[in-house]
Amino acid sequence: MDKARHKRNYNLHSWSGVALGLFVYIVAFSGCLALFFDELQTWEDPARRLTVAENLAPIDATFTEWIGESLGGEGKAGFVRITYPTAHEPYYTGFLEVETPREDGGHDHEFVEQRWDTQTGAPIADRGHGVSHWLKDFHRDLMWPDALGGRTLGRGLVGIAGVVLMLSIITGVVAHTKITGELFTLRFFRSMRLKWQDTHKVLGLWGLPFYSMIAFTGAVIGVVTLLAPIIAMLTFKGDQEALIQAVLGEPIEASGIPAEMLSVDDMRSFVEPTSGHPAAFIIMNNWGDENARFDIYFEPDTELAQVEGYQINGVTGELITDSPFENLSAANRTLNAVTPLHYGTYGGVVLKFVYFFLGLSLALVTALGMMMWVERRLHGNEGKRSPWVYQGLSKLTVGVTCGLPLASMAIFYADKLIPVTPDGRLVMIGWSFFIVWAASVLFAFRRGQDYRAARELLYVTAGLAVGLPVLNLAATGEFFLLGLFSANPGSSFVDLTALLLGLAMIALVAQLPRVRTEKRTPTSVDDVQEPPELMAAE
Amino acid sequence: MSPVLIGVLLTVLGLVGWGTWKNPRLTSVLFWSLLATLFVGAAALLVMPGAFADKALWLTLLVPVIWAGFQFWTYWEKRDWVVVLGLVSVSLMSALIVFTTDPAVG
Repeated sequence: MDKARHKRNYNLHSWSGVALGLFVYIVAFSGCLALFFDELQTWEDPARRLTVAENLAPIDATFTEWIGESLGGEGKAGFVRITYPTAHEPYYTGFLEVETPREDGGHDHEFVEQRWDTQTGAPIADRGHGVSHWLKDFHRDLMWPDALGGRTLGRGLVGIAGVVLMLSIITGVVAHTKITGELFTLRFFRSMRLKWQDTHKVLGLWGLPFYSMIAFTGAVIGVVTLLAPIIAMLTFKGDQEALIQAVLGEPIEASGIPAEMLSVDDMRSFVEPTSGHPAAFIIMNNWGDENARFDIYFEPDTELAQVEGYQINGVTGELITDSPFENLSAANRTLNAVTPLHYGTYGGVVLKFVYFFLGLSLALVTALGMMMWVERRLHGNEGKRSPWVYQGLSKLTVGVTCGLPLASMAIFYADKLIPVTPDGRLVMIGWSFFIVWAASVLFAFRRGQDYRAARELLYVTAGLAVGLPVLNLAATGEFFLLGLFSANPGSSFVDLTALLLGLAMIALVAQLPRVRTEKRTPTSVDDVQEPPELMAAE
Repeated sequence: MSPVLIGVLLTVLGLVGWGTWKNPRLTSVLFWSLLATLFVGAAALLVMPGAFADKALWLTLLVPVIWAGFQFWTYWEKRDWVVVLGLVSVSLMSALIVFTTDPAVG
């Protein structure tokens, strides 16, 4: 490759990293925590630490009554779903979209949710969405506010992080011409910069297959929510209805004639013909109407299929043979594999931990890239801006990268210690998260010494992680060592994982330098990151 | 079209034009590659053979790859203006297909 092209490619790699590296870091780190949504839900809400009854309490009458009460007089059921109990979620869960007519002819949409005990069928008190939903949705859509475009825009922005990561991976691989050598080069006894550089390259290269997969699947899940509709709108000249029908087929309209629905208790006994798995959840369209259609979903037998299912008539139970479930194309199957691949839901908790550590390494690679870029300009012979600019970037990097784990741990404490109504819980968690994160950035700027600021922020994070089992014990009375052997050990696993990670973090942070000790001249051998001709050209 | 919207569009066009003149590669990686992706995707949906729903699903998978590919090419190509001309040409040709072809749904 000629030098000019190499330099352009390297510039694209480094500038895309500098401009959006922190954003990619945020998405990567938050994704590591989002993996454990099920376990975090159990940790968060003691009322959910249940076991599935051997003989499930009937739920049909309760479910039907709940829908009727939620709809009130004028409301109409939009999206209706019942989820059957599992080991992760040992209770029935109902979701309902209530469509209420407005005076201007439109509809207001409200989503309600309810859980029921499998032993008694009694409703489980709603605690409101808290730390688990925050961590999951912050990764998925940044909890993007409605005033600025809403969650769909947020999801698209997260997808852009995937595209940026794809671009960084391509340019990174092209930029590194000695990949075989770099795979095995870790010079831990040289300068700090070389340590960062080698770690960035080694982690980046060994993790390449995972990073490529996670970037691609993340981009598909995210960007597509923004771009696919635009493309399809162009194709259909703005007729969105025609587009939806072309892709999903024409939906069956409600007849307006009320009818009695099949019992959700009876449908629990439906099994998938091939795998024999019982129904996992049911989505009901036109609920309460003669034209009701129920989509019955089962745990997939093929690991990478997101779901398997079929559609029935919600009144007669007759199988619908021309539903979207029948004759799934290769495109359907491929697209169905994207979400399980991205969230690691196809291989149990061990796979989630593999994803977790690989995800952390991706966050680390991104942060190290930023740090190297700043370091070469602050203490090397690159860059033309004032040192103030690079010092500011350095502090921002420390504050954002070390503040995010701290904020993520702090909201566990906020969830348990700050009293709030169920409706206000998620807002309180959000404020706590951003206040701690902003305070961390401020601390990094005020501390003066970046190495020390990073160590202190990471120590506090580790301390909070180690203290999580104590918090759980104090708030809910569950001691994790006993809970590990209970029928529902999800929350105890969270405690144990936090404790072990916190201790490991303390041990690692203790190895970090307190201050920058190296005083190198710009011409030092260690400063030569890229071929000299590229640096000279810059 | 409202005067406000026209104003916003003209401002965006002005900024893109100025950006393209000052730094063609950067503007291409930020804007022209996205525009080309959108139009190429829409045109592919219209002219490629096969069932529409299937094509739409495959395109869902391909859009991020096409976008990242265009972005990579903007810094790979030797000549600055070839990048802009290439992406604008691809966008225009695709737009021509999009605006002159009716979707064949099947």
